[in-house]
Amino acid sequence: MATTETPNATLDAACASIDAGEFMLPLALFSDPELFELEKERVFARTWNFLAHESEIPEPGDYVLRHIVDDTFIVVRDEEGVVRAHFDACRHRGMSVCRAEMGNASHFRCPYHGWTYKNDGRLIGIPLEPDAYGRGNVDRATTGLLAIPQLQIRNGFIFGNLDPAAPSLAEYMGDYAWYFDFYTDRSTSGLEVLGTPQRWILNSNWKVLAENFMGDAYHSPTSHKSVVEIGLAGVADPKKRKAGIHFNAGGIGAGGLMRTDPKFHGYPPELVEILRSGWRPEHWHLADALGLMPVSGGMFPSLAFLWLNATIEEDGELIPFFTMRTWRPIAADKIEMISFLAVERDAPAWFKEQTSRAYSVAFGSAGLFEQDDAENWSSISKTAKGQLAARHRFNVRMGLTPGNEPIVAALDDWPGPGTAYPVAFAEHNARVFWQAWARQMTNGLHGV
Amino acid sequence: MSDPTVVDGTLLEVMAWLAHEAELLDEGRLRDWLALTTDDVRYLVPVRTTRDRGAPTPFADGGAHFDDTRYTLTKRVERLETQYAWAEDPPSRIRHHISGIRVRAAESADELLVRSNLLFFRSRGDDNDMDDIVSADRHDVLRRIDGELRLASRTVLLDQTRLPTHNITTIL
Repeated sequence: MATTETPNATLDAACASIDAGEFMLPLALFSDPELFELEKERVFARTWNFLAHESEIPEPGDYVLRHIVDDTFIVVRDEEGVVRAHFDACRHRGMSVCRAEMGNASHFRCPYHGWTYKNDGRLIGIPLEPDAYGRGNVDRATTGLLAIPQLQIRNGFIFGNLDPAAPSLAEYMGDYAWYFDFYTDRSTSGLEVLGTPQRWILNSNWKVLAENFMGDAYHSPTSHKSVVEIGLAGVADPKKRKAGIHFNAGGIGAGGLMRTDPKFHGYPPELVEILRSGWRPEHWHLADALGLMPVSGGMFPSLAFLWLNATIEEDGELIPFFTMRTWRPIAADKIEMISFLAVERDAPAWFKEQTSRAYSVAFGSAGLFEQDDAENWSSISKTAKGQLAARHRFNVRMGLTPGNEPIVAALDDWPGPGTAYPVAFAEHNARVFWQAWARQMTNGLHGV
Repeated sequence: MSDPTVVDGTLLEVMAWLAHEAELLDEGRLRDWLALTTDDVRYLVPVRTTRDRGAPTPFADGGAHFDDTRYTLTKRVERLETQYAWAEDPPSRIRHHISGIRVRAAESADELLVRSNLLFFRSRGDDNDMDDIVSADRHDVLRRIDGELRLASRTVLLDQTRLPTHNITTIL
């Protein structure tokens, strides 16, 4: 499908600059409402969206209510222990059959006309059926709650795809899976979400933050300077340019690794032991021998990770925390931010308590890092709305020469797939984001 | 069953204390506000989810909006004293609208259990894009130390599951 099918000037201008390797992109990307309508269909309805983590629904009947833009899903573990995602709409008139955000239910009953579904989605009850419909006239087998077209789970992360023909999650991830596993397959008992995700409204186009999470370390010394000044945490030292790695893989995932001090983000010995026995040897090697830990990263279009630390007591000990986040686009200039805290399931209770407090003071709606990110990102979509703004291009060229070559070459001895640049600050990952976006928006015609 | 709420001079004292505390917060006099807290103060704003009637609790354990001790509260104040707290520079205009103040005796003779309704308003910038309201049920423990009431703990039970505001930069 060519871009001319539903012409959009912002999309065309962006693709032209991306394809030319120029990466001077129209600011209207962050405000164009027609573009957003196209994204709903071409991006979010055709890619893998992170819905929930298995640890949130441990027991049969446990469910959480999650969304892909305007479609709502009951993500539930049925009585047999199988994880499913049902479109939350009664097959009769479309009423929501699940109005709590989480809980445990063996059945979901529609409050409108009483149709009842087992938690595996099967329709098992129609009030007054013989009189209303005649026995056997409603085909129970095909009138259950609609299952999400595709559902796949990796390392407990439950992803949903509205496109039945989309490549599998593993195919979609490609080489990025290796990094996804570095971030999330690090404990033999898996990860556990602590609490429930924080949700708040942010007046920003989703791509502003999606691009940032893919590996914008450059903003930290400025945006988060206050946090460094008060000694809450460290950020990448502008002088230690070689302390970081920017990787990208599979065309859809990227992130930043850092040589952290202390090693392993400051994990105590009990947690390092969990990582040592949980990680594959090649991942343990990165962290132990090379001292590299994941810091930020994400997978197109709507999953990001931050793995950092913060002090929570006078002793100044840095307490690590791990957050994954996703965003539910609401408008071209508005999202719902959804932030999770996760920890190694077998971590001692005292560590879980500490990591929770470290996460809360640093990230989340009131986090001292996240507050300033929200401030920045909520300005951009507003700036991007005007007439003059429509003529403005923003610069995604960091790390490129004027001839579009990397200033610092990729490593040729990197012990992982994809591409890795030995830089702490660069926009390689942002460019990968925009290329993935262009491909997704044009069905592969652009962004290759 | 009679209402255990205290209705005497203590209620008046607590009402004045809460109004004074709100004034300090609304005016950004955060060092003075910190001085109103005890050394072992705990400040918690848990995440709320919509639950069916009869569910055990709508509030989660872990990953809270705020989960602070004196140290992290102090860090929040220190940050606002730097030149780089962009989220509050320019400062927001905030106002704590407090009502429904109820005082009950605690187990400990030097403490009071205080509940209040909070309607927190925050306006930011030169338009109304960030005129935000947060509503909550505040559960405080006030402790009398050397004759003065101080905040020993506050748990803010939000009425909202999804916060309408892009960040929370102040103490609720």
